[in-house]
Amino acid sequence: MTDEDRLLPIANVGRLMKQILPSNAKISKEAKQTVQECATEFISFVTCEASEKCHRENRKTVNGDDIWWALSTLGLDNYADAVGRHLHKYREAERERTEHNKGSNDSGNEKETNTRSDVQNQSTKFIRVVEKGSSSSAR
Amino acid sequence: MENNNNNHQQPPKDNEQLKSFWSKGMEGDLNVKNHEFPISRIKRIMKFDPDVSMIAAEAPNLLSKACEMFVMDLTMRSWLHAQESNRLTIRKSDVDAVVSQTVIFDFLRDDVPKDEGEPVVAAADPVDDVADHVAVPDLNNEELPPGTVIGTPVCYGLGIHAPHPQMPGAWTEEDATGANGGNGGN
Repeated sequence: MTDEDRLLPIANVGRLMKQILPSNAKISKEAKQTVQECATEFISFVTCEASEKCHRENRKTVNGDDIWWALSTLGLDNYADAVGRHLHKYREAERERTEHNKGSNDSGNEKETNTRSDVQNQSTKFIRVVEKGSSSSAR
Repeated sequence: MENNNNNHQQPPKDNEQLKSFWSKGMEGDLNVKNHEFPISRIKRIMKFDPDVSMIAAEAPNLLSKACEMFVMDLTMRSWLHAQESNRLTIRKSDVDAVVSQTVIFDFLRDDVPKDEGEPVVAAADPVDDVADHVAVPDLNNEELPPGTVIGTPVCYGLGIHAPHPQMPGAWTEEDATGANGGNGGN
């Protein structure tokens, strides 16, 4: 594994930085690299907080609520608010896709309500949805 | 590690621009499938943590969105710092100064190596509540051996998580127990 592989792509970081800045602003190469490393560290740190919560609750799968909770714990309230809305939209999109697949495949799955208590079931279902494709999200 | 920060998180003069940033940033939520960062790369970074065994499909998706916000937030604050010195170019020292001065970025200071290759002269005075952090963290990439994550996060492991021999069995187990998840092997 090379150094480049363990960081987020610097082109994506640079593009994002430009989006938020005025057109006359410039960014030095070293600044991009520093933000790239900070962003990678951000992901590792949030992941660590989320996985600790999973272990405390005797769960094996890190899900979206754990990510949301980790952001709140770290004091990143603005991020948590936006991620909460994003999670809601994501699950709506997944439910629509699942229903579409169910309609076309004519399977007999029972309907699930979208309540907090079903979070674990949803996580399991999401893994299976991904599993049907070529890639796997479980290690 | 506990990061409960109730201090004010930004200088008053920056409030207006940052609020504007957050208002605009929210619009990015509208497209659920639009990702700036590759999901596969984020998943790989998540798995650097040995405690992470399984990841729901939604988790790297959300982390991608959170990371976008983080990059934009850090960039905006760095730009404000550069502006204070009447510069149009963001430098590494601007980013380092923002990390030092912003409370919500505490975790970046605690976890990065402390030794500095070069002294960094911060243009702005440090904020009072971070007066004890005189040194600016040096994120020089050359100091890290290949494959090393920058400043390994301090993980308070709660016992050893027993691996399950069969992955399909683990899923079936989770189905059987519902929201409570699996409790060891059956």
